[in-house]
Amino acid sequence: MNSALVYIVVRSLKNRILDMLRTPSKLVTIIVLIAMIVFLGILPMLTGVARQGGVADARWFKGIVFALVTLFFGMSVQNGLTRGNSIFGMNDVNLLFVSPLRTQAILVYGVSNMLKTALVASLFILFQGSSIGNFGLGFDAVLSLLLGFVVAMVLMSVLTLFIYTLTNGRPRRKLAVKIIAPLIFAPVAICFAIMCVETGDAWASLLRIFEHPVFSWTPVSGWAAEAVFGLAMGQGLMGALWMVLTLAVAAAILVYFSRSNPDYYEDVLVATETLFEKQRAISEGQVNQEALSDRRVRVGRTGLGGVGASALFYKHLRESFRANVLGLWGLSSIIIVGAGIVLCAVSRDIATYALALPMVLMWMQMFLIGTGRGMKEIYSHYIYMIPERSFGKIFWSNLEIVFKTLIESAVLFGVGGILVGAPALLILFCILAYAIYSMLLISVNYVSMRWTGMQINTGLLVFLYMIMVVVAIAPGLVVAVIVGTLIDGIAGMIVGFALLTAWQFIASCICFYLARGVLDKNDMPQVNIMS
Amino acid sequence: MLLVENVTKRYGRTLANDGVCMSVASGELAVLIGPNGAGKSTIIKSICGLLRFDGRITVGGFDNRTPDAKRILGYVPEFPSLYPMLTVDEHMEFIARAYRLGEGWRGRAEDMLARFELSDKRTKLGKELSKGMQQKVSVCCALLPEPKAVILDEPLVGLDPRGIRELKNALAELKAAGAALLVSTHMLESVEENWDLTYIMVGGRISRTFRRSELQAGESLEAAYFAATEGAGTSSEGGAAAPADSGMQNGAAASADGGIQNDMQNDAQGGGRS
Repeated sequence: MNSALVYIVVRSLKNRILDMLRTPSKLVTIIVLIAMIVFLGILPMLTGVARQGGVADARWFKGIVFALVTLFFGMSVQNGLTRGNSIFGMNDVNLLFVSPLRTQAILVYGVSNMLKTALVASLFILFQGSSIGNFGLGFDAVLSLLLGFVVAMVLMSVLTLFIYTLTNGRPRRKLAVKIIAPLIFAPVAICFAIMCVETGDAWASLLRIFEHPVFSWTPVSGWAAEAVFGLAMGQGLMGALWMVLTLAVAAAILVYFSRSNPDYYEDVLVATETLFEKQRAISEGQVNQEALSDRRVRVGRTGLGGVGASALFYKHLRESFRANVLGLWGLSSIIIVGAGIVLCAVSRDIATYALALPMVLMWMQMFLIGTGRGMKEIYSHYIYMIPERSFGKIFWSNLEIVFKTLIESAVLFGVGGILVGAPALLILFCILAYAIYSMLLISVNYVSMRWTGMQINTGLLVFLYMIMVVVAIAPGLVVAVIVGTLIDGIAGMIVGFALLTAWQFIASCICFYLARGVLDKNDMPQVNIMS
Repeated sequence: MLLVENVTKRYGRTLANDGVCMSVASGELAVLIGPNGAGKSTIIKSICGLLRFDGRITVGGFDNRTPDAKRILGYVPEFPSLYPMLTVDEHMEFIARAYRLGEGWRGRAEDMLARFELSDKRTKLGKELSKGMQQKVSVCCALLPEPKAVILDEPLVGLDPRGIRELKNALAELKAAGAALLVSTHMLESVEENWDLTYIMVGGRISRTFRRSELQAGESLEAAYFAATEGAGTSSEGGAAAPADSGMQNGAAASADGGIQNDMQNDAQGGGRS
């Protein structure tokens, strides 16, 4: 790479490290993250704790990697056909593209940046130790998955760029890509269909297809899956060969790209500018994804309701019903409720319905609660300027997400309860417990904001919020579990859920009280993502 | 109408505003100018109740955090932030409902939208508007409740020539109607005709305050600005500009011994944020 580009890479890295060392909050975040990776991800694998329940067939691991890479592939094709990919930042466009540096060198610099991003994005894999342990695999499987993920991300970025270059402004080529891309998976799909017909068992056929050569030779997805699986199973040579094949595709595309299209700037400009505009909009307080989406929206019915603070609730209803065909139900609601009902239908087990399902849902809800319009409202000045009391504004602006959760909860636990044959009282308390949990999460969010004044690092704030949720729910949860265990059977579950519901309501009220005046006594937060 | 007393704002170790004192009386247009990073946006956000601060700010005699203060305060932010899923009309309706405005708001909204050439965009969603149009809607939202004090942070950025003209006219009308106006801008010529009072902010502090009558004959606002920010003061620096009802009789806006140099030192130590 050109010395100027090396200088940028090295100097940026050095400045980033110095900035981290000079900013205590960033340093603490990094230390906490490393500690979490070590204690939650790596140690359980090395000590064998995660392997204790290793009963699942390891071939599923290969299938999951295949599905993951296929998902990336689909996204790459979609992006390649629409806006291309951004392996550069706007600063690169403004400073490097106009410089006399060789375009090939700049391309290598862009790819190295992409590699860096892929590495950071793949850190979450280190937390998957216990999940991978369920397949009877060790820490080497985590590392091989990490490597596979990074390679797949880089390959897909390059592929996106390649498709965009080939098809931009050429409708017939776009059509060809749209036809060819799914055809890549046709052999494996046909093979699977034949196996299903032959055996009459879709489940067994799925496991068999994972070992079939057609699966292994499926471009990119199959290669990457075989590479990760081979390395994870200790078949180093085989795994390395598949990995080389996957990398060779990326290298071939890059070589083709640099030789045939040295003037690629235009091809990356649209995606770079789009990304930059989105980042700028977010940092200017526009955190609504709808504002950043290109999707056309039908206005339909117009007009709002409510007066004073309640106008916020009616505004949220209008926005939600305009953004989604199903109103309060977005795509995430459909996926969560659908998956929950399928789980109940498959398991037909009350313990899964009343214990496993709420546990998973409550964990997810901790993060999904932030997607509500009420939580986004605090990034805009309107809610602060409305001449009403802070509590009223918070109450009305978060009613939409509580209402949404209540409907999700009613459908999920209602239908799920009927499917597993749960008594009406248990269904009722499951519905209430999950719905009121959202209230607790909102109130804890505001307490964490109130106490920190929103003047801390976002990562630390999220960490603090998670700790506070655990602290807030713990007393009720402990009592519910103890009492529920003492009373045997379904009656114990009902009493346990009733106690948990009651405690969540009390804890929410306490937290809302502690967070009083949050809109008057805090800084309006800003999202800082521009680098 | 607007009174800022000894306001200090820190972001961690960074001192963004340091003992800022300002006041704007009813029917006055005050201009807040200063170099990038001087702390203008910070003091504006503090006045609007968007930031915590040490000190005291009142609007019409009410603490700026109270609903009474917010009811009479209008704010046009630096970056227009509209709701992507609401139409232009619905933005007006939302403000009218949230501020509990009386029936007459519809007529006023229509007039304002017509004035800023938004009549044909009434059913457009916030996300479908250009940045300039979003800024116009933002201005309309701020002015719809007929506030007695209006704060505008770089309001002209992104506006087309007609938008600029209409906003200037609107400001003149608001001033004539007795509203207190505080405008932060780098486009000095845009307020040249209407300003009464100027605050020059450097390094988080008000380094100079002067009224139009205090300028030397033929001296422009721009010349006064450069004189103040480049260290060659030409006019009074002791806060003589304070209006009668402003509470600035102490002349706290700038130190008598040439606060500019001190401010520059302060800027070098911590800097501000605009």
